[in-house]
Amino acid sequence: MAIEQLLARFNAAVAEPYAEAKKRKEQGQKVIGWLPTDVPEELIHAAGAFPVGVLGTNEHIYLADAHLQTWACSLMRGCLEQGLNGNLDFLDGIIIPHTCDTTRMLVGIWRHALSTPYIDNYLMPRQIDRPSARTYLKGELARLKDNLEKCTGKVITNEALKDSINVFNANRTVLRRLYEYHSTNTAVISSRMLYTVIKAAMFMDKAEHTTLVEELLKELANISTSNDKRVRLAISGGVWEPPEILDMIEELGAVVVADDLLTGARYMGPDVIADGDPLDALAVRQLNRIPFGGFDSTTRERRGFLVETAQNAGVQGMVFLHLKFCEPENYDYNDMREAMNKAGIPNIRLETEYANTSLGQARTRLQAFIEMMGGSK
Amino acid sequence: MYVAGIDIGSIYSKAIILKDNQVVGSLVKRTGGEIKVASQKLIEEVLMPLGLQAADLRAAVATGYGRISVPFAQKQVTEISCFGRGIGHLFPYVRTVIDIGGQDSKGIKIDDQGSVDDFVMNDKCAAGTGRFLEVMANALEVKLEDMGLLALLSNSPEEIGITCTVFAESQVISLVAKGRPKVDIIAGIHQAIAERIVSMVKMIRIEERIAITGGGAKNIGLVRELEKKLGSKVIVPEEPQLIGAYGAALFAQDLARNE
Repeated sequence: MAIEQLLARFNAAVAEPYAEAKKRKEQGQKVIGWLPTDVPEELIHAAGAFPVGVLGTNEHIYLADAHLQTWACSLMRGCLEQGLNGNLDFLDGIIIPHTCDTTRMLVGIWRHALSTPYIDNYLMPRQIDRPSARTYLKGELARLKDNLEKCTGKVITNEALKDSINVFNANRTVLRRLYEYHSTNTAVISSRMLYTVIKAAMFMDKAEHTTLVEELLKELANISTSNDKRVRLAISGGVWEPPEILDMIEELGAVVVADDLLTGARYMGPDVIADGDPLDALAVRQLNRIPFGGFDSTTRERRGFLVETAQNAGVQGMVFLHLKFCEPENYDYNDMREAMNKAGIPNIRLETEYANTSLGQARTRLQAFIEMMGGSK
Repeated sequence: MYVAGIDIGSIYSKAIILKDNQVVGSLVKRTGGEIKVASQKLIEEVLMPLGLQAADLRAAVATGYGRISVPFAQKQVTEISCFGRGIGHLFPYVRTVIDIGGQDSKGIKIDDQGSVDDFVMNDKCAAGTGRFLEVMANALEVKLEDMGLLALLSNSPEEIGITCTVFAESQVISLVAKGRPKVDIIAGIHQAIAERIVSMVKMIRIEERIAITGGGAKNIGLVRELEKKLGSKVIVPEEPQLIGAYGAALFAQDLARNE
């Protein structure tokens, strides 16, 4: 397939995020939705069900306002909206992780307002380097496994789980390769396209997605890199929404080469090392993920991680892209900004919302930021 | 060699014409509806006394929220960089610029060349901007240009909560209904705006000296209140509203020289 055709496949998956899931449902497969972030999709996959990400909506949100205050983040309001407007009626189950106060309350609202057959809340440890974290998380994963078995009627064997882990590891590997390719060959595919490929993995069949990314990598290997003079930026935050923000960054003369986004780098690494007990391996992966505002580690602080990430990627600046009303990001921001300033990395904070049509002010700020770093269109 | 700096703001549009480093023309005009048309009229009007037309300009740079709709400009530069450049040129010892525009307020940290080191800008909200003052002047039936002087006449300013322009307006109306003196209400409004601006600008660690620009700098009540809250005397340029256009004109001069 030509590059354009391959990219069209990923674009289509993101444009119609539930198309594959609905097809699977029609074929008789159970479909389990998950909300961001960190739900172990491998367990769903090993139970023979199809995991599909539920990642908010850029359509108008209003039904959710009856249940969730408008000053909750638009990501969670958008997820609830899709439940309420019937877009998620095809789901056999939904797993909502507890990552912040809003996700914690959302599970209760979902149970109260919606009739998804299986609704679960996944409680990860927040202080991830406490001695009890690993044992606790293993127990929580075992509970999730039991519930998924009841929902699907299929026992998750260690063997099946290890196979699923391999499928997901293979996917992460190709995504990481694409990410690295883009970091050095920034002019070949756009930043938005890179992140579209990553996001597509949340909606497509994993093995199929892996094959397509492998094909894409093969095609890209033939393309010689051009000298890109644009300003190199990193993004820190939750999601790259609204997507136009990535187009805007490129229009204004910059390119994204590093991030810690839930719909970006955080979705890829690290692999699950599955030679022993697979549940334990899933727990270890979770505790070793890149830092995120919802969890806390004293040994691997997010601010230090971000400085290191920015320096390793050779970026000239950091954009904190925060969803309005995201409390974990709001609390983390000051520490992260200070760490950036101390490391001499220019930074800016932009607050955006899903379904937000007015990006004029964000454009002015981004443009001024890029001008500040000596770049301009 | 003539160059132009055009600053299309949300309420006013501004133009500066430079000839060999010297300001030879300037104009401030309400923006009105269609920006493309407004910017054409603005340039025609500012060039008319000089006997020139837009085609005679060696370069033009546009800034302000309407910068993308100025057909005769070769380049757009954000108002943040333009205010920094303009102030840096006039007052090289200034390190912090506070710009109070019609639609937004900004804090800008600059070096001795007027290059921007850091900046902060209010979110999509009119509280703490020129628009807020305009709404309050209307609610109180006072001329906008009189607001600042009236604020200085009060000895016991009212407390105004300024979470939102709409809420503050209804608060002001109820204070009027209670028969509170207008000057005290006006003084309270100025205090609230100054608080809002100072708390925002503090996010970039204010360094002296401080200059105030934009239409808000023409309001003496607001300037005094800001000085109190900042604990520092501020510099107000002679034409604070024209600094963005001046900075844009300096960028246009660079452009013409590098041609």
